[in-house]
Amino acid sequence: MMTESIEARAGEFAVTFKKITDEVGKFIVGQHDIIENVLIAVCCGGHVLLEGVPGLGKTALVNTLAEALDLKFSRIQFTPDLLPSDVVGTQVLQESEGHRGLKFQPGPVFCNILLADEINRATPKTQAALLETMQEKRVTVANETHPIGLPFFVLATQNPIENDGTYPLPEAQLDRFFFKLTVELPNHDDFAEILNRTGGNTLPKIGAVANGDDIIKLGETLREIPIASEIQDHLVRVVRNTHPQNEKAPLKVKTYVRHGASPRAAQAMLSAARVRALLDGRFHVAREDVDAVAVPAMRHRLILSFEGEAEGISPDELIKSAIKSAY
Amino acid sequence: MKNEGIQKFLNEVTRRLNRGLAWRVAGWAVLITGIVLLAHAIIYRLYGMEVPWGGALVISFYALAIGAGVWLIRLRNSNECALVADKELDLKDSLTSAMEFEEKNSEVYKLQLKQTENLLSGKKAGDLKVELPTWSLVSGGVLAAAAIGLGFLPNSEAVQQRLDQEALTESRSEEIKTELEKYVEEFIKEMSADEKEVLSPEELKKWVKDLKRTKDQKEAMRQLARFEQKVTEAMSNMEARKDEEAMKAAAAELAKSDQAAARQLGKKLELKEFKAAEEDLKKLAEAAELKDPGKMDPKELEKKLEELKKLREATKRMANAARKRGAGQKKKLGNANGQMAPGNGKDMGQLMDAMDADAKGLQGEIAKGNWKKGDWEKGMKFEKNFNKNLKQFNKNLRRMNGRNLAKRRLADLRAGLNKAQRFANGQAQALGLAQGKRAGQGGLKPGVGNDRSKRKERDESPEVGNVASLEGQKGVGPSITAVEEADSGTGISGRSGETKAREFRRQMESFVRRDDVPEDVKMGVKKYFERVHEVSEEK
Repeated sequence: MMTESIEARAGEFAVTFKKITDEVGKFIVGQHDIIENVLIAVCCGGHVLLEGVPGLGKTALVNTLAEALDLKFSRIQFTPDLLPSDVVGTQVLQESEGHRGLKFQPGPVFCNILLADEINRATPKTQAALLETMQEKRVTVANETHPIGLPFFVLATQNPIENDGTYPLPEAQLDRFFFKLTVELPNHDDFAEILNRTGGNTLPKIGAVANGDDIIKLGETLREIPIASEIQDHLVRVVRNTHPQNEKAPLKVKTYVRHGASPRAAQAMLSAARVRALLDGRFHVAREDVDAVAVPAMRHRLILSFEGEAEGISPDELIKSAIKSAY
Repeated sequence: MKNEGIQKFLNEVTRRLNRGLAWRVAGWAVLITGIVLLAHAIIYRLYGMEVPWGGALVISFYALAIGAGVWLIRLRNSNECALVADKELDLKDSLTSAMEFEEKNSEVYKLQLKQTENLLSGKKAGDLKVELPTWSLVSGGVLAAAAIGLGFLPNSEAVQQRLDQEALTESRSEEIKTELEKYVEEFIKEMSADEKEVLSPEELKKWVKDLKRTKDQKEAMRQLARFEQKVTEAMSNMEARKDEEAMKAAAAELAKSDQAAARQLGKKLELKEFKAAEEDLKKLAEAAELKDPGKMDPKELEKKLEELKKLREATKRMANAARKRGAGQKKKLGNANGQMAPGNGKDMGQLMDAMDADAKGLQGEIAKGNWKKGDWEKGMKFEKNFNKNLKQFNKNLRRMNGRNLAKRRLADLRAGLNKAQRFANGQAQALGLAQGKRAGQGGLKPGVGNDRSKRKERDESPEVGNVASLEGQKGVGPSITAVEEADSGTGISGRSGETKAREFRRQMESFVRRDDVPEDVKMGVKKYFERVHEVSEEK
């Protein structure tokens, strides 16, 4: 039960968020949008899929975030021979006080921040082991369910150009990611700054500026931000416009999309828009908040048609046209 | 609880945006009106016509009404205005959210309202851009001015001439109708009972009523031609040529008689004085009526028998004439061509025959002398039959008389229609139907007249007096005088007399319906064909 006023909590939200961003920014150069969006997802309790070519600092970002948050961190390097039990844990034979029995040995998912590095390199079976964990935040092994402590979020990375020996994530799993963020190549100045910061003997020191309770509190605060029905209608229109069956969907969507975004995408967009409103110091969600989070929240949820795949259509482009036609 | 500051701001925004919308709609309305007015003016000018201001007023009114309608339909409500203000004034949907949150009491809503109020304190509704649609207003104005300029140009000479002609035709068609109505009223008043029996006054009135006021000269002529056709048809229906021929033959036969009464009767029949002939015949029959000779005074009887002889002489002559017309022709006699349709199914020839047979029978009965024994039954029967046939014969004579009179009147009416046609197509300057009807009454009263003979600057009708246009070009057009080879065709005629008559009638009608032939020529042609028709029938 919170006794603090919403005004105070909103202020605290912005301060905490800024502290974490600044702390991460000590090590990560540039990539402000990525950092902000990762933190938005963290605040909302969502998982993030980071996509980018190797060497752009995806793993470094997650490592730094884990350091900035006083949370239990695990990393799994996904490889083709990784087994589900290597992820969620397994039962091992143990002797205790003269008795031998099977005891559950928790896997690396039992943490607060899980870095699933190169998630698309593991077999679908292993990827599927994460499904229950990501959605229900629990693990079931040998008919025994083991809850995972909150907060819990998966930060997965994947490489979009290396396709040999990879297994694309199934749609069901993709839909469980709150955001899919594309990490771009840094610009000239950022490049130079990366070299400056990492080229010496010492690395920037990252300290924990928030803990699990802070993160949970942030999540509770953001859910109190109201949204006007007119704005919510706009959000629904944007999501529905990604469906080719919708009459008002733009022609591009009708041509290149097979399946549009799910209601889970709308939920993610609403939560993320609330965070943006709070960060902007507002007590209401604006259409620009909705529009800003639409691309990362839906780009991995659109399933392109054969024509879309063949033409190499970017989902980002389709989402932008869906936003435009929602006005 | 509504926030006054926000509500006030929103009201100002709504007013401003709707004012802006009104300007935009007005701009479009003016532009479209200008385009339509100019197009309207150009179309009229291309036809050489003066631009009707009424049309321009209607277009302007509609543009205004449609513009107002569009404005009312597109009038923005406060929610829409809030969305626009949020976008234009960079309020990040504060106003839209505030409008919804106004009624809610939770802390976060109050904070939002406060935040919005603070945000709006630095904004003014006047910051919203409302642009005057200068381009469309100026363009619309220029186009409308150009249309007005074109509106001042007068009709071209040809158009003016046409309009004058139309006005003249319209007034003349109206005048013709009025005059014909009066004419027909007088016509009906003068009709006798016999005429009314064969020619319905209501039908006559309906024919006049069918004439409509028109601007189109050709239509006026067509209406008159249709009227004339009805008159001609009515006249044709009154034809009782075969009965008249029977009467003529009877007259010729009666003329040979040595009886003065019979010759007198024949004379009247020859002159087609059927009513007088009927009277004569009636007198003869009354004089010869025996009723019961047994009860009569011998002297009176002798006188009656003498009268019966005269009557018999007349009926005999008439019956002879009927018989001479031939037994073959009897078959043809009937109801065709509007012939008499006697109640007992006999035509005039048969009636004459029957009357003579009865008269002969009566004479025979007298000669037998049975009446002296008190047996007059057969004689009475002959007398009764004779009277019955005489009654029918006289009735037919009255009808023939009525038809003749009606035909004469219809002929007058047709002549009047010819005058009307000449008047309608500008060949005559005055109609003068009433004058014609009142012939011999001294024309119009002193000081009452018309000035239609006054010549204006230009001819009212381009066709008046323009003989060339009526004649056409010589040598052009189908020839009706082509000479066929003598040995062409089969040499066998398949046409009956009736077919020929129909063909003549068709030719005449098609000719009289033509608009480009002078009425005098038409009249001549009509008479010619009628004569041809008569001759063919007589043969």
